[in-house]
Amino acid sequence: MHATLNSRTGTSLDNGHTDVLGWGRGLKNSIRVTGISTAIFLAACSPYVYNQEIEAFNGGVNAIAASYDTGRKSVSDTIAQQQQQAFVARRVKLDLPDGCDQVDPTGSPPKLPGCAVVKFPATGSPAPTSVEIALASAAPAFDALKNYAGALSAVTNAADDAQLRSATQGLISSVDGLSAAVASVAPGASSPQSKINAAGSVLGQAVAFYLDSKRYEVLRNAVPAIDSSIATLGETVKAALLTIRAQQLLELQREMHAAAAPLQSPTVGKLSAAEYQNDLSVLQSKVAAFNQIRSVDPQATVAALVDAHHKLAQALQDDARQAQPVYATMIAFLNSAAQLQSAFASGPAAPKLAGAKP
Amino acid sequence: MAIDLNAVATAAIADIQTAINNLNAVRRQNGADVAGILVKIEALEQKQADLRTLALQSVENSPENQAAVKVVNAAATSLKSEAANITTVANALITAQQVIGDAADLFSALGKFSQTRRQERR
Repeated sequence: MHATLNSRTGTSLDNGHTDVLGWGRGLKNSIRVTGISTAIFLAACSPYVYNQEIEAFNGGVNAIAASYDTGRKSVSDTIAQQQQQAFVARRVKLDLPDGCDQVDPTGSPPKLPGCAVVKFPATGSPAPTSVEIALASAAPAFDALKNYAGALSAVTNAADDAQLRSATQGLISSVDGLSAAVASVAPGASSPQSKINAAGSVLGQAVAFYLDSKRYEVLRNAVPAIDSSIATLGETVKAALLTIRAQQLLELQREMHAAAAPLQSPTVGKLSAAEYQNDLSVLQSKVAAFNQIRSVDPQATVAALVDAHHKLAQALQDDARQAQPVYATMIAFLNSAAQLQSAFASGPAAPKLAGAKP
Repeated sequence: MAIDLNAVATAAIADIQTAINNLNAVRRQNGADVAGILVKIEALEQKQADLRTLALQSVENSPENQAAVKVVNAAATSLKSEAANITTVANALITAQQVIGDAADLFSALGKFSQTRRQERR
């Protein structure tokens, strides 16, 4: 006999037990249908929060920041190398500043004084060159950009999604456990499984919908408002990356000219085959390094950054859900930034220490 | 920004490049002072790099850049705060899961008690 149910009282008439959840088959079917419908509705309406696109943007910005860091170091190393060569060439009298005799930081905030080989007499820490000062002054622009991209990523964070899925699943399991426990108290109560499936699906979708809506609202308020500032910061970032590229190319040009000199000389024919082969190999490696740096274009990379951000801002503003064009521009930016990072990392050779064998 | 300083620097660098190209043409002529010309070429290349540094200094000291750094940093702080709020929802779910789990344990215990009472009645 089929059970009939008084849904108002929750009494199952065929066995006399009380359905403590107040759900019977008819109602259960109704809930199942409603649950599935709601889940489909929520999934369809859930806003797209550009998670992958923002991750790609964050990756590209990190690659640009890494290019800046390695490039700055490479420029400083080259300057130190040139200074050392100048010392050696002129047999300059040298000194160590007072900072080399201090081992602990002092002052507020605590600082260590500089310690480096300087020209005699040492009058303080060695002064950075104008290029080093200019590059150091660009740091706030890179930091702001990196900070912003990281914050965007935090809003759409995949880890947060994983946590959410886990929490929702845990909640569903707990409800399942609760219903099973209820069934043990009231053995006649209907099977909890279908209710769990329907309730769990709606719950998961509803929570995801709520969070995605919240994320979308946050992104929609922030990204378009910041768009013009990103373009302005892009000018500083571009100028700094172009400076690093110019400095690296300048050094590589000098190395290339020096390496070419023996092979351009009218007496080139007097070189032994082994000497000629060696000089040629050195020159070819210099040319290859020069071409690698020369092939990257920081202007294009920064233009891709600004364009990618602008496309994201537009898509959020229009609620266009046109993810593909945004994704394509983000990937183009990410690839360009990765190429830049790779080229800057293979800049001029590290400085040779005095007395070190070549 | 009214003037694109990077564009100005790029144009000046192109002008210097023309001079370098001319020097390279002279260098290949018979009897040319190759070493002397190379020194001049490297000096011009140094000028090209200096122009880049000059453009960087001008751009980073501009009020537009200073303002953009502040705006973007403020936005990042606000976004991080919102991200933390969103994470709080997931944490609330975990708390809810624990409460329901505790309730399930309680019902389970009650169920065993109820079964024992029914068996006793029989």
